[in-house]
Amino acid sequence: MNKRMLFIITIVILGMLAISCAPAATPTPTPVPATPTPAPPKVKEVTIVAWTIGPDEPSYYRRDNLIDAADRLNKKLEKEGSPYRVKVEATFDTGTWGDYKQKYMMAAQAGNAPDIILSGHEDVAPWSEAGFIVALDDYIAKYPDVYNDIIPALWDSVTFKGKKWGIPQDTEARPMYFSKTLLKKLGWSDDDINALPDKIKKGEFTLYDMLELAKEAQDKGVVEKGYGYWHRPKKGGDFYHIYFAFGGQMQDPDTGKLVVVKDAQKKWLQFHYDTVWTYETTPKDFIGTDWKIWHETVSAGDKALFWNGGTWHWAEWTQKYLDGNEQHLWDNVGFALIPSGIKGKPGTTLSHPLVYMVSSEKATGKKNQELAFRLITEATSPDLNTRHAVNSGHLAILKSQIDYPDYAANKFLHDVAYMVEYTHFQPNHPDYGTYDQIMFSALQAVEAKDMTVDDAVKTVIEEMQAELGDKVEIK
Amino acid sequence: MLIRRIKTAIPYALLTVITAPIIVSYGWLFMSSFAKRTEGLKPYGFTLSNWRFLWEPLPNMPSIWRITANTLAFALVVTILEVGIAAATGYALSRLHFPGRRGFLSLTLILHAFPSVTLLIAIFYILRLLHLYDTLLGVILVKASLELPLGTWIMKGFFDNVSWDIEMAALIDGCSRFRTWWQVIIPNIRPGIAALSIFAFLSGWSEFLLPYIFLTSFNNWTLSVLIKRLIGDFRFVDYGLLTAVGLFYIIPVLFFFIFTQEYLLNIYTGGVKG
Repeated sequence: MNKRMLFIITIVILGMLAISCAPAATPTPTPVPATPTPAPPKVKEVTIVAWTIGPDEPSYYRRDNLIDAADRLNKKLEKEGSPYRVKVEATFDTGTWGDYKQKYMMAAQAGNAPDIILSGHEDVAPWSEAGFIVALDDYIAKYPDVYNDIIPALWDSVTFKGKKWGIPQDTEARPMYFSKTLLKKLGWSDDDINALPDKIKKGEFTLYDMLELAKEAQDKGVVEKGYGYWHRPKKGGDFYHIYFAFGGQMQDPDTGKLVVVKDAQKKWLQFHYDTVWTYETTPKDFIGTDWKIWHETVSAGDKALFWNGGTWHWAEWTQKYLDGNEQHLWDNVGFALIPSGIKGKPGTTLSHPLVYMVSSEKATGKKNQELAFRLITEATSPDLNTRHAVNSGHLAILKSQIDYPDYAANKFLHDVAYMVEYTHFQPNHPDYGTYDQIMFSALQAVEAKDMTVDDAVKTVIEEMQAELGDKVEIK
Repeated sequence: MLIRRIKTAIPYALLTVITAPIIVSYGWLFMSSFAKRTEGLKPYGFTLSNWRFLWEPLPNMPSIWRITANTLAFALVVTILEVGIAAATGYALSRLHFPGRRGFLSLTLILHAFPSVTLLIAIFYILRLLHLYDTLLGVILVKASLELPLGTWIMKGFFDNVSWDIEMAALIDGCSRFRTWWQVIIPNIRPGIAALSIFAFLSGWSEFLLPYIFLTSFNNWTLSVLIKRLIGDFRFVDYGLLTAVGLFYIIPVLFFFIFTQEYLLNIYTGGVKG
């Protein structure tokens, strides 16, 4: 290789270096626009960085709503005579929740966080305690027309230590789905099938009735062994609606402390033991199964008899697994609340509102908090939220959405709307992660038969007390 | 005659059996990237749509070309830094006598014993302090630093093999130390530099952990991070796309390796005299 060639290669490499190694562009700290000033001399563009996540792909409007809201906000800023205009750099993540949250925490620690972060409401407590996000009460008070429209119960999910730290972006319910096709094969009439959701709502059909029925279907050869009842295949909040169904409680509303109800916890573990080992309606080693296998199986509508999932799964199955054929689901799949564990008690469900949060100056190194909040405010509108809800199978967060034509016309959203009245939330507590891990480890051990139910209960209590001390109440 | 043939065939048969899983894996990777779907190892139908990432951006992902440029820049700069610094330190450790030389040598090797995963938290704080978190430059510096101890040892081994007489002759003729190093010694260890360069490039190209942990912005992704993101939570894995991107990821390295493996083997013949 001659010297000239070497020189050219070196120049090319250095050029690539200069392009690629440059830090990602971050806008310089921008003062919050104060009171509107007449005839601003020059327009200043402020970049608002937002991170959003599905992980389900149909939820991409979580990002796109913010992008579209920028136009609305810029028009208002112009009208107000503000010199600022916003430009949105928003991303939509389809990776895992764990990776997403870890990246946000590291970025916030490094002072490099996005201005807006969308995450589960349970992150409000740890992130506000860490100083990563700001309280929004003062901002919310400035826009009563928008925020009085939020469904009141949802404010509970973003409230921590008396302050509101996020704006609900969507919510959902987690139904118990069932195969109408397989129930018919089992001899159920259409009337029987149609009556099932109501029986569950009234507490006439319990979790153990479900296991009995699933076992019967397996014994008669209608359902393959191990396909009677499928819970989610990975760690997640869904497991706790079974705990609630047995009378469980996760947080004391008065003291704010985490709670373990021993009796409910034992029944919760026993139920999961029974479905795997006593009734054999859930496969052994089921936890850890690929989501893809899970979705393909349940969305077929004629393989598993009962399974619990989320309302958003309806949209996922339609768009990702059934080539848009929603009718296939209506023909084969039914849905109801999660049956109660106690006869006579109404069914239950769990909601997990996702919320937009505004990162603090400490977390971002920027003073864009008010503009970021105003962007969220513009995205919190009936039309934008409805297109997200309809496209992704999520429920309304605004009262005005209920009558919004596109929302009202969606049969599925209409049919599951009542479930919100029976819902529970996961706790807003900075140590919820530890609590969750201890509970889930016990459940995993019981399902794998690594531990008896009694030992698991004992272990949970001991670990909770050792790791959380007086932050947890054992009832 | 027959016995001789059988004797010749046995090693081939053994090698075929041992390498079969690897060959089948790569074969499946290739076929799956052009198949409409696969069932087990069997592909069905032919399509180019799995390669669509080459001409259209994937939804919610940065452009593949941006990611490839990042990966290339990452691997090249790591290579340049590693080889440049290792060549200088290797020479110093081989030829110069200074206080603490032995201790430095031992320490260098101990540093190499730390897998990068054990240093993640400390590295995070350092990058944050230097405002290099979420920058390609920051991750390049980390990767090069972690690779340097071994690189230094390897280069020292090559310098040890260069005759003192050549160096002495250059110094007596009036060359400075730097000129001796640059014009006399370095040309003598070209195979070593080539071998270390290839080794460093392959290591940089395949690096996953550091970019995955320390690069949060979409625009800073490397190909290994992209593959992880395509897998996601195994919820919606498009295996056709995944295999096509996987193949795209290994093609440059495969060619690079085929044409340079001769030099790569020099690493193991260079020697590491103490």
